Amino acid sequence: MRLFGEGFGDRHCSLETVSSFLDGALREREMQRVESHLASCTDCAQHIEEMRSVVGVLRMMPTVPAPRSFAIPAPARVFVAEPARPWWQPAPIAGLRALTMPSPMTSVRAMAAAAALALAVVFAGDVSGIIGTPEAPVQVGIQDPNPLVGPGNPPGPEQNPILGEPPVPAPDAGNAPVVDAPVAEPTAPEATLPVHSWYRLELWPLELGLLALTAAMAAFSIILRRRTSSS
Amino acid sequence: MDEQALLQASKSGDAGAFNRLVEHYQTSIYNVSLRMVGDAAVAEDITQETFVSAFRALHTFSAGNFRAWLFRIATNACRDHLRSAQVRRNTSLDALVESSSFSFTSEQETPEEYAVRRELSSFIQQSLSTLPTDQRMVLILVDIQALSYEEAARALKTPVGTVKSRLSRAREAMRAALSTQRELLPAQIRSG
Ligand SMILES: [Zn+2]
Repeated sequence: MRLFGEGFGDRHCSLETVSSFLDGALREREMQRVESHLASCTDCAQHIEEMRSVVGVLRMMPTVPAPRSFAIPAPARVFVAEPARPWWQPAPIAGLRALTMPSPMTSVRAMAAAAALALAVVFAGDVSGIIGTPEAPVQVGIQDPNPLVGPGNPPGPEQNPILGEPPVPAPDAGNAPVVDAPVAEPTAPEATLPVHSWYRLELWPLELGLLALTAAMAAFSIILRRRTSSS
Repeated sequence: MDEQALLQASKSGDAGAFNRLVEHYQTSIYNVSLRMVGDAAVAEDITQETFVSAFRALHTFSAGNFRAWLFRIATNACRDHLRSAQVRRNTSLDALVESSSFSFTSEQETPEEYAVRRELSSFIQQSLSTLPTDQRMVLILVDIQALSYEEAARALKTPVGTVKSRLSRAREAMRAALSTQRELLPAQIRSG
């Protein structure tokens, strides 16, 4: 028996031609050429028959039944719909990993809550006047050294403050005139007015900052939650 | 089975839908793996790995031949295994032959015929394992799994021309091996 292969020359069938011929994968003209060649070449004819039997045996190789089901277990990464929970409430801690490595969601919520709490404390303190920069109590009755219009300065003759002309004669120790408003004692309780009022927030830059931080953290938390549940 | 619908559902994370696809393809994948590595336990691992990887990578599968895509994952896994297994495997042929039987059944098979059949199965598996990996893959996909050239080309990510030439060389090697064992060939093939 002669060897068969691709180096046979044009007249014999190449290995690939034989293989494709068996699969009926040759073009019409090539098919006809092979068929006419096989009629005259017993070597190629025998080769093709042997190949055919090999392919036949392989096709009859039994299919081995699967030994078990290869179904995949419901994977953890497939998200389960998160139960409705307000954004500020952190996710329940589910194990050591959650304890050691808080999720970004939890941290953002915690930060939002902290900022909101700080805002509340500062605001309350500010409004009640507990927190704030100490200020000299405003005293009623203490005169401006150079008031344009003062209690003791009824509009009258033109005064030139630049000249430093005292509007009234300096009160003498002896004959204190009653023109002036009574000088209040500094310790008098009624003399001190409250510095803070509800509309006058001393710490407004801090409060504004905390408000912005709270809002930002809340927004971030909501975005994060959407991302988590949609991915 | 509406494969497209199941694929869509699987892509959105429906493991149940995906498992219906698994059910449909697991025998093919298992058999390809088994013929490739010749070891039932390893084939089982590769089959499971194939489906887990496929589920994870499902978003990368846009359209086309899902079966060929699965076969590609499986053959890559087989290739990785064969590459890592330095020693040519002495396949657990007994286990393999035990679980497989040739499908050319005669109504009245004698024990001798049965023995021959088992021997042929074992011989083919042994011959397969001597083929270069690339040739073996093509032979298994086309001649045992009955994939078309185009499907095999897609599964192996190789041109159809390459599939044809590898297939012809693999068949030739099998022919040469079997020509020494003609007594094992079933009568209908030996005579035909
Ligand atoms: Zn010839």
